[in-house]
Amino acid sequence: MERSLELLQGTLDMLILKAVSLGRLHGYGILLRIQQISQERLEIQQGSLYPALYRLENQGWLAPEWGESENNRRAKYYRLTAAGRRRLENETDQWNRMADVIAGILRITPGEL
Amino acid sequence: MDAELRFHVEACENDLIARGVRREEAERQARLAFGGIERTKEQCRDAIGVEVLSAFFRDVRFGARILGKSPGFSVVILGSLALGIAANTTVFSIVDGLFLRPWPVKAPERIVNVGTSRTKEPSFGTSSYSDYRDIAQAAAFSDAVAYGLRGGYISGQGQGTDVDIEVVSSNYFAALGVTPLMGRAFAQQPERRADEGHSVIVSYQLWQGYFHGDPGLPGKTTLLDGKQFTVIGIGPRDFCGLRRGWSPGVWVTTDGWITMVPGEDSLYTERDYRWLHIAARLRAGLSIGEARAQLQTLASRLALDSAASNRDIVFAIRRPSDQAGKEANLAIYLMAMVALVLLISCANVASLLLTQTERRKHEIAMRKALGAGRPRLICQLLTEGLLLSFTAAVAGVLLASLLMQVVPSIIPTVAVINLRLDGRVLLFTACTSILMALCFGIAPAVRAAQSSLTSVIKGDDSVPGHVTRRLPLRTWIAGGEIALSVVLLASSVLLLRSLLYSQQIQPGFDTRKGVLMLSVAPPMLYGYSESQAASFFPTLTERLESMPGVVRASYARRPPLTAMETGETRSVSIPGVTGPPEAEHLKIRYNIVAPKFFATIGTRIQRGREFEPLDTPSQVPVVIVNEALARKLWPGQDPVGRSIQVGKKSCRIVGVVETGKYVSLHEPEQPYLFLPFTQVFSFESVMLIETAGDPAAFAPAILKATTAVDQHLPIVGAVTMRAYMRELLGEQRSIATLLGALSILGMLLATAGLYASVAYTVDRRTHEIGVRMAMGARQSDVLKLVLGQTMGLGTGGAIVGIAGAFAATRLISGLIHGIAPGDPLSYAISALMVSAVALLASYIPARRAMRVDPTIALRHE
Repeated sequence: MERSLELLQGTLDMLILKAVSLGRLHGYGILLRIQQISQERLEIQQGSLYPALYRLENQGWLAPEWGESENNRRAKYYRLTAAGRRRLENETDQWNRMADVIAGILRITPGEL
Repeated sequence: MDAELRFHVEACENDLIARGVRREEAERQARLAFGGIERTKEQCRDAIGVEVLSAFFRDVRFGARILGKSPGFSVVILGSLALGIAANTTVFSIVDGLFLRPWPVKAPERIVNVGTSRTKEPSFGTSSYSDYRDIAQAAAFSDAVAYGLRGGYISGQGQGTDVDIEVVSSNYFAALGVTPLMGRAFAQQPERRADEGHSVIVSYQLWQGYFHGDPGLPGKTTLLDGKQFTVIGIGPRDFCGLRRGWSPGVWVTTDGWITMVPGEDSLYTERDYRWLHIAARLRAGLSIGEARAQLQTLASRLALDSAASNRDIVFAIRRPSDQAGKEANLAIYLMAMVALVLLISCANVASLLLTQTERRKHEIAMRKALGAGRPRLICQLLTEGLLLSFTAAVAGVLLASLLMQVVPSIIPTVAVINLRLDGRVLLFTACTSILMALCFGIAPAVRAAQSSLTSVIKGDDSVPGHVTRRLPLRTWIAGGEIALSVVLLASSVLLLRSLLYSQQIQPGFDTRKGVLMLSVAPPMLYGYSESQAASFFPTLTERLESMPGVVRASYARRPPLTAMETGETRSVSIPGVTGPPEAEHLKIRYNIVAPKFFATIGTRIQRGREFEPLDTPSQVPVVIVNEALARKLWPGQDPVGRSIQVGKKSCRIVGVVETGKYVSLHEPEQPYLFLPFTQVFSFESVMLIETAGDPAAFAPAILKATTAVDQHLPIVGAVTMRAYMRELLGEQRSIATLLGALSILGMLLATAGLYASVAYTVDRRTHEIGVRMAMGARQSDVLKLVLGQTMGLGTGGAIVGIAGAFAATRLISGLIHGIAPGDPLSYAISALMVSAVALLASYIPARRAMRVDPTIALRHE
């Protein structure tokens, strides 16, 4: 299997918010969705998922609710709150800008100095 | 949370099964992929901060189990900590009672003290009534009260007794907001004020003691100095006036005092009769600075209006907490010393815990392997430490309450304070325990967190070739304990030598003589006229001298050496000699004595004679001076026969006696005057009876003879001169004893700690020692190896200790007499003693090291 890219610190939160923005999910579902939308190139450490979920919930960006899963088991679902949506937008914006800046730096050739 | 996480794992499992993996295999892989459920739970909780509290309780339960596993060990630790805490709590409650506890009055933080000072030499002294009235008018104060410390004699309820009296302005209770327990306070309306001249308020302690808690006391009458007074109220239980460390038995108004002592009405008229303390309540919103300014204006005005009395008088304001001075220093010093003992105790505990931590290596390593982070580990170990210290604190508090019952009888000076465990004291104990826990918990905790995981699990204990060049923590701890012990011991030695010196001081009379001092109540309070009172004592003297065993008897206004000296002086000058006013009129202290006084107490007469019965009022007034006074007025000449002006009388000097101590054993030489009883009247006196043999044996017979002369005249006290002198040094002795006890305790603890420390080190290095011996090291080399470190830290500790002791004794330099606070001999003695003990403590385990059989040692793990 291709070596999965290492996840930068702090991006996990962003990815979770994005995953949930596409529709409410339980923890395992979030894991699968991230794998799915990254086209299997990202594999999340399962151990770090739940602490992150709890943190995001504590900060008010995710709202939990109990419901029934596909196989009729009780599961805890998360959905994005309005504040969470704003947070996701800000983070995305910041990420893009940062990526731009860094890409620019990395592109510089000795001739452009 | 649990359900959620399990769901996740199950879902993962199901997915794997759906992909064709076998059930058990799927379960295993799912679980592996997820990691530890418990750990994740912990992390989740951490993420939202709930973890702390539940972790704390878990740690507490675990800590309790650990303590339970080694009960002997735990008991020793708890015991020594509890002792340390008990001592600290007790000393703190003393300090609290003396300085910190606010008065039980209304709004005590707004109350300040006002005192009289002089422009040339700033001080803070008592004031006169007239000044008080002016000060009370100042706009800065909403109220002002005056109070004076006096004494008297209360009777009427069987045997009478001396009583401390606080003479107060009539608004005292009202202005302070103190409500009597029963009855009422002094009336304030002008028309009723005159009645209060016969009213007295009895303190709670006197009510319980002398009046046996009589519930019907308000309204009854009693006698003060023989005058009838009505008890109008009883003071509240914890109100003892405003003077720290002094507790009056009764309160009377200034009018009441004049009733007791006729002639004292001069307190109203004489503006320079200064004996009242003043306390005032600052008006809301005003500061001390503003009050000071107003008083300055007042003082200037009075300096002009009443120049005779107030020419160089200014008024000063102090917050009650500033009053302390010498006593505060002593209190701080005692607290520091007690804290040192506690520190040594903590150091021992730290050492012990370090040992225990090393033994728990495996358990800790497991925890780390299971994912406990460093902070978690430190937290857990600290919590165990907290548990230990809190348990010790509870035991310590219980012990302290016991100590507080005992201490007032050992140190009489604190008897006046109501020692109790109130909020402040308990808060202090709690803070001390937390500090303690940190103190001895940090070291083992950090050490544990640092330990290398793999080496521990492998069982690889002693790392070969690992020579400790850096001194181990334990050595520092032991060195610190030695330093602290030196501090304690040095103080002890200084105080002890001070005490010995004080006991040798010559007070100007023969303390080894068998003399009994007998006081009767002033006869004039019991119906005697002045002439009858004057003849009472010679009659009694004759009667006593006729008794077998009595060598001679005399009497004087007050004992030859007494702190009860009220500071009264007579103005003395030499007629015909002119000079600056201060030199012309000397204020000299005096005593009024009877014939044979000096012979009875054993004072040497250097020139001239004693007073004789011939020195009657019709003859020339005579006086006797002490050598210091003679030297001052007629240096190098014989003063006998010369004239001297005492007050308004011209007197002739008939004798010179050796200079002695009159107020305090440690006073500098002072001039003193003796006046004859035959010519000068004294209200009260004390009998001095010289006996052949132990005066205590003759006491009953003497008392009987005295009562036979007049059975209605109460005997107030009888004490032998020897007992009296012993008691003079009572406070000094108490402090020296206390410090001696503390230093012995400290040294014992430090020695035990050092012994354990060296023993442990030897144990750990047994393998190394075996190697060395196998390689040819001699027994003495091994000894040097083990002791070398101890010697080093002993020397270092001693040096630090001496420096510390030197700094600390600055605080009590007032208590050290006869030697300099920096006396090298005392410090040297202490350092040597501690070093010797430390050496001995290390030698014993070291000897065991020497005897080690190399073959056994090499196999030692």
